[in-house]
Amino acid sequence: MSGVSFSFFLKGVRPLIWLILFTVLLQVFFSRGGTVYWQFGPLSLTSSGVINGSYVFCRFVLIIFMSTLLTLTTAPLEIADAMESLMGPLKKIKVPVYEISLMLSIALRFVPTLMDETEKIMNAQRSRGVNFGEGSIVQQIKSVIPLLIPLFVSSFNRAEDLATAMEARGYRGGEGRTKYRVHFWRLNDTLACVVFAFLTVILLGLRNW
Amino acid sequence: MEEPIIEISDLSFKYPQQKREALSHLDLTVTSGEWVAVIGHNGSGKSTLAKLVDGLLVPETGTVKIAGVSLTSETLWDIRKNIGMVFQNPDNQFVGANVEEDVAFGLENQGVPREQMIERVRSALESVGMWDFAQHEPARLSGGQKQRVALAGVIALRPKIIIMDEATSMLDPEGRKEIIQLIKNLNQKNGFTVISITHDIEEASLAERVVVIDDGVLVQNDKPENVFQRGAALIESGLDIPFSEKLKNEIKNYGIEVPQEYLTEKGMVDWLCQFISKK
Amino acid sequence: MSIHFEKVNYIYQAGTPFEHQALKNVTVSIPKGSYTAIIGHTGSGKSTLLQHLNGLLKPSSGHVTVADKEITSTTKNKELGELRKHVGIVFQFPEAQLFEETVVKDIAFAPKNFGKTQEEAEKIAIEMADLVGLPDNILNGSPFELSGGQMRRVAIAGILAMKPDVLVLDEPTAGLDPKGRLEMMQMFEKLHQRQQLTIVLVTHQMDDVANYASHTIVLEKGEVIAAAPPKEVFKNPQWLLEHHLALPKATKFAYELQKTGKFSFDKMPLTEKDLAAAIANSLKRGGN
Repeated sequence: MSGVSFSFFLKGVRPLIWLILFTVLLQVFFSRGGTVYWQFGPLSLTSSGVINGSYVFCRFVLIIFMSTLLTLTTAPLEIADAMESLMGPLKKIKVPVYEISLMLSIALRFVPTLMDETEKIMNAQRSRGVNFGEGSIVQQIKSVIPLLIPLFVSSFNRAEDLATAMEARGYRGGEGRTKYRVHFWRLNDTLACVVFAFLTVILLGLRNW
Repeated sequence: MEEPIIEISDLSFKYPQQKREALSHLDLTVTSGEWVAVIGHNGSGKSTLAKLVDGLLVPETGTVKIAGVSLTSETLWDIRKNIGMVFQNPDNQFVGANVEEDVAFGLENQGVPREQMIERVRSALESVGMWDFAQHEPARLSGGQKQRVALAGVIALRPKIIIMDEATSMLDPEGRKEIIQLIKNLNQKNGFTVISITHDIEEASLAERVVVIDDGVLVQNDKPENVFQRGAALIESGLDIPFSEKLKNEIKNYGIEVPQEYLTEKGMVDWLCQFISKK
Repeated sequence: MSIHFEKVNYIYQAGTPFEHQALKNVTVSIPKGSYTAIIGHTGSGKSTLLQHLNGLLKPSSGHVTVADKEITSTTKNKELGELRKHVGIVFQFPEAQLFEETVVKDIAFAPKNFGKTQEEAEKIAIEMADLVGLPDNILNGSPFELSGGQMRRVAIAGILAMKPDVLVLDEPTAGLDPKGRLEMMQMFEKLHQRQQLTIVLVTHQMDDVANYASHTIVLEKGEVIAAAPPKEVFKNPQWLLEHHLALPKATKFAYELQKTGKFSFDKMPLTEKDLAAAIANSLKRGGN
């Protein structure tokens, strides 16, 4: 339905697989209660352990699937817009919702620029004999300094330039601004809402049943 | 069209931690529809001048008048509507998530209704040849394309004055050529007043007037040909030596009399042809 | 120390939908002691080629020989450390790499990484600062308080401090004013002459190619379309036009003169000096 292939979801799980396995095993072998199948020292395999373990596993996988689905089908900016609209009521208590959303959107816009910058600086420092990601922990931490400082310096310079450019283009806060990017409520949105409301009711029903 | 649009008098400015004035008692008038190039070496105060004109910095002494209105904290935002600026670094002035949203940013700030915005964004992007890229993110654009978008952002606001603050200095030769060509059109066909701060001799030679700033002081304010006549000394003022001047100097070494006045490259070809025919 | 590329291909993000071949079957040499200019448009593969010179990238196939070491797709990263000492790369806007508290410490960073003691490294740093023309009184100050041009010199000194055999310069004069550009180019010329450094210069400035380079490599869409001395490359204006490349100003002017029918040149001049000599010669002979 989302047009995203299943293998993409699996790829999302892969980097976290050890964390998931570790947590699941922890749950399985250290939970007590229910029928004991097997015991060795502090380790025990119990029915509630197995149930808890599978719950944890499902939760993890679902969280990853859901976030993969969200990030693949929805542009980060649309998420930022959604945040703004959800935070809308906070305007009443003087939370600068508009500014927060603009900050978020600019931060997102600069992600590729900063990634690029990071790569350039890494290459420059590698050429000066830095080995990133090698050696002892102390060495690795040390090797981050020649990367972080230039990144901070260039980000501050960028921020200053950007502030000047925004001011020159007449930016003076959220007051009185109109919006170019708008979202429309479509039939699909109504359908999605109805389906989710329905699912929630069913799940609640199942739980109490 | 001969009315003054920018009137600067006795303008001085000093940055907080510096001893020397960045700009010192500067007077300058620009008439409507004119193209003025401002040159000077790095750190001479050119960019400071641009920022003072747009009210991005507050002067120590002196006044700036735009279209007859004095620049004060009350008139600041109205005056800025008359001025569009394009800065040096293409990446650091791209605010929007994609091309069309970036062009819309200034319009949003002015509270332009959305229907009008859509139309103005489109026509501005078309005029710089970037409409096909409307949905592109900045990461997928070249430096020259980003500067064209920045220019579209300015055009969409329909200012009277466009200030190019070294806007071509970080571009490759092709990108630079495109931007200069666009500026030329905007100045000649659409009647925008253009102030271009530059090190590029070709850009400066297209201007009607060249203003030379050296260590915060205006040292020359004249037609390009009169400024270029300074020859080798131009490099101290942050401009390259014109090719014809370099060539004249080299030819002089062979004991050949060369004309004193500045010649364009074409003028130089003509002079050489005449010279050889006389022999 | 010469560098040789043999049938080098490089593919970015191979096996993904974003796959992009940046170098195609590149076979080319950078002779020892040469001043080699690499020209080509944005996206022609210049920066990918550069990153192969000191092993920042390894060829997807084919091999690169640097300092008698053959780099292929299977070369281990550990073996590349030694190589980086021999080939110093000054990236575009190199002042972005500065991070130390003082100028001396920043220049000493690379030699320290390559095993010199603090004292040895600082001694080299002071030497290099002098070589690139930095005044003594700034050496113990912060590099971030310098002017743009001086920051760039600090960064270049930081690369020279590795005492490389090959100095690679990626548009080293971008963003400087004309005077700064001229001084910078003259400094590299001096290094080339006096230190016998092999120089690889990536540039868009055809005048710099004409004035300084002994050898030219022209890249287009990841392929080498010419590798010859500048006078060969600039011999054919039609070919240059087809590939959207500019002529040096002096050469362009000479063609304009030739079009008038009153001047003719046996060898197309590349620099103002050559052009003036040729013109003076014609004027004395009295034209055609």
